[in-house]
Amino acid sequence: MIINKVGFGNGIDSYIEDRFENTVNVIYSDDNNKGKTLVFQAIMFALGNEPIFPSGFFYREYYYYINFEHNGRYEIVRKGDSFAVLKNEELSLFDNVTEFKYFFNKNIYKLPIITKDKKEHLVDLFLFYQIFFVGQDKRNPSNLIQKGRYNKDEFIDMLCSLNGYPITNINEKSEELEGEIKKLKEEINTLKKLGQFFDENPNLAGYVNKSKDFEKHVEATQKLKILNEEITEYKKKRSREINRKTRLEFLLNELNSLNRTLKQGRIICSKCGSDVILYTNSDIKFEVSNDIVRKQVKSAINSQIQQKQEVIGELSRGLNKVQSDLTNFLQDMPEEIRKILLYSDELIQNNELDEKLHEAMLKLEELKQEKKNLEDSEGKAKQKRIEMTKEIVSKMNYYYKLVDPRGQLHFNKIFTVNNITFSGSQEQEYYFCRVLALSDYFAHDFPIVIDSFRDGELSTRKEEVMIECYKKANKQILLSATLKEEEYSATKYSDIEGINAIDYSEFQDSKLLQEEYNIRFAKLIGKLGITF
Amino acid sequence: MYEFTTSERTVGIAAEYETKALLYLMSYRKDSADIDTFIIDCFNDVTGSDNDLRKLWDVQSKGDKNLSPKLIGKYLVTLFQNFVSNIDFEHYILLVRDIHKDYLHKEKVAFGFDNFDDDRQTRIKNGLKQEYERRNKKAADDIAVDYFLTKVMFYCAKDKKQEFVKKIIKFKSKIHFQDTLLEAIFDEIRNEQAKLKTIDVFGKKISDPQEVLAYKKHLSRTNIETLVVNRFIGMELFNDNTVPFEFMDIIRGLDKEDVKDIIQDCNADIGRTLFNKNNGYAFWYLLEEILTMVKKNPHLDAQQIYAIKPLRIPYTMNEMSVKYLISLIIGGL
Repeated sequence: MIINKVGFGNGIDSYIEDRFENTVNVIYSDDNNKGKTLVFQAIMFALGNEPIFPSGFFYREYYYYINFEHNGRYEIVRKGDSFAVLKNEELSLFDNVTEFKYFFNKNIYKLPIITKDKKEHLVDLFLFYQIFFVGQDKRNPSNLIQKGRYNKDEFIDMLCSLNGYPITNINEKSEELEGEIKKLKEEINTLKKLGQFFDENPNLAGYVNKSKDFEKHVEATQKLKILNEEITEYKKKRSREINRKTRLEFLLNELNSLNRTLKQGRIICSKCGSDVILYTNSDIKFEVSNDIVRKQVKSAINSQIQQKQEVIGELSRGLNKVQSDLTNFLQDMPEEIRKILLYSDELIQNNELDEKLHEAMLKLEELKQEKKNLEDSEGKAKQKRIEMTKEIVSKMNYYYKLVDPRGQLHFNKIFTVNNITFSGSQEQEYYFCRVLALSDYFAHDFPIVIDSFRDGELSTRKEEVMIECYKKANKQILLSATLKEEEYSATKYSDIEGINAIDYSEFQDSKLLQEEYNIRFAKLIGKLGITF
Repeated sequence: MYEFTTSERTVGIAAEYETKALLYLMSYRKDSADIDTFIIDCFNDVTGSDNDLRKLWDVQSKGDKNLSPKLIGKYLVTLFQNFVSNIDFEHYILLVRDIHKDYLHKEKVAFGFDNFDDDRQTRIKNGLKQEYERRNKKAADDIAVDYFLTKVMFYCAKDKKQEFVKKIIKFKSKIHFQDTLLEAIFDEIRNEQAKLKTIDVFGKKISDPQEVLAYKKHLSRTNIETLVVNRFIGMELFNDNTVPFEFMDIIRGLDKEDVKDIIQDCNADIGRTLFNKNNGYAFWYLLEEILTMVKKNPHLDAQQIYAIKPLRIPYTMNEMSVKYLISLIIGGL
């Protein structure tokens, strides 16, 4: 992958960086707040990463554009969680990260699959990108940069998968699964009871207005209304996805049965018994489809179903978050009001009970299936995992010795031990070693992207060694650096051979985004049919 | 009068080369675009013709591995018999798997009789004359044989099955067919050819080539192109969230969630239609109509194509899914 161009804007101001080359690129400036991090985060965000923008930057208001080569040219525009992708004059649209991930996996790069929550799971992009991307903030050598729903073991799992062998971190406690199944059964019972309760008390909502603490109640109702609207929105989206998924499942059944009927109803010539009958009065000669096509249609439907399943999961997580906001909010309420509010909320949602119940039952089926799957598989991949880790760690140590021949660090694992305190530039050196070791080991197609690559007062000698190593990596490298006053000269990097130096010093403080880019930026995203 | 005489039952490799002969006529020749109809096993293995059957391309095909000059001559006999018949053929072609390069002055895939060296020319000629005599119980006219040999053309079909199928329709470069699908399409055409061969016309007589259509022993270019487009559509169904570019106009301004449903429904409709063999006729008819309109009007968009004339829509589809189908076709070609 070679990044050509990145841009972002909101119609009021914009910025476009198109000076990247397929070499070591260094964006540098004589001071902070010049917008380097914005550019780096914009690149990653446009590629589907999670946002880690500097605080105070309202990233949700902007459109992000990226243009890169990867077996052809891709152009992507992202706003919030919506994506538009243009390749070969073909436009694809996605309105959540999961759909985009599946597109990425199918068309751009086959993503690793790990076992998560005892299920096969295509890793999210932001985990994958940590192989080659190090941001400026939230660094933590002993763990993932942004954990989200993953842990560092899963990062290693991902590497194993990338290496071509399956991962089984199943220290297999099917008892655990058994417990889950039991819990779910209880939940199903509760749901059933709750349904019964509401059926018997249809007027419960009427009591809500009798609350003594009327004012507080009104205020709470307002807030509640907003939260409920969000919840409804999520639920609406989710139920449409569930609906689509169900219809796809029905369709599969229908297609199978269409085929079956035909087998039973095949016509046979009454004269000779042949099943090849020519309709001489018809011009149509061929079967309406063949086996390969039918298989492909079915497998495409299956993959859509799986994708929908994951989208539903994503929506459910969003929903859970708002629902827990709601719970927190309710906890601050006086006991009495809380109860009433809680019940009124539940009342409104009463009609969802059936759906919940249905989902729980489906989930139960799934769990049972998983338990079976689990029992089938076992991991001898463990040994391979150890070998791979060893090799990567030894590459890391090799790079460390290059940078700091007398340094005291010695890596034993890909991530460092918890709570170890790094001094000076050691943290920076760690990331340098890891990113290069992973690049060497996997020979992956992605550029190396490090925002602030000299963080922690890296000495000039070390910096030189690093730049040499980056050059040898023989791929596109994007780095940023803030120079101290005494170090800064406009030619500091441009004098080094093989480096594309991009100086941001001339930009005013926090004024990277400028009006003059608006027309060009509007044109870029206009190509994908997007207007402000 | 032209009397249909020989008919051979072929299997395996021979049938494969009969299909290659058909596809060769369809897309390998400079004048391929003029050939619209492929008459199977009437005049010869395959005879191509233009729209009103005024021009005929006569092909004999052979899948033999090692052809001796004598055998080549023998295989020319059906072409020669057509040459001396009452019907005018524009081209005479012997399509073979390969001809040994030592026989030839210059190694080529398509060439005339004069590309054989003198010795082979004599042996081929003798082979032809002997076979003619054996079949007709009389000697062949020397002048006719010589004149025929200046007109006959040889073609070595060295391409694989898949290559032949790939050439039927030029799809946009982004569309990639798997080899297994290409082979399956080839076999479908071959099987169809085999079925048409079972229609018996032995001894029947015609005075004008047009009369041959009455026997329904032919395939049209549109039939075969539609077949390929049909298979292409099947492979494109439920393909991620990609919307055919052409379809964007039709759904512009609609709610995003509704669009998702519409697209899923369109895919489902077409999927159902493709699995419903009982109503295959309706779908072929629709597909041929669309394909013909799209080819005739390359500048029209899906809406406009749809509006050209009322279409007969299979009961498993509706207006929206037909427009989606049109968009897929425009997007692919």
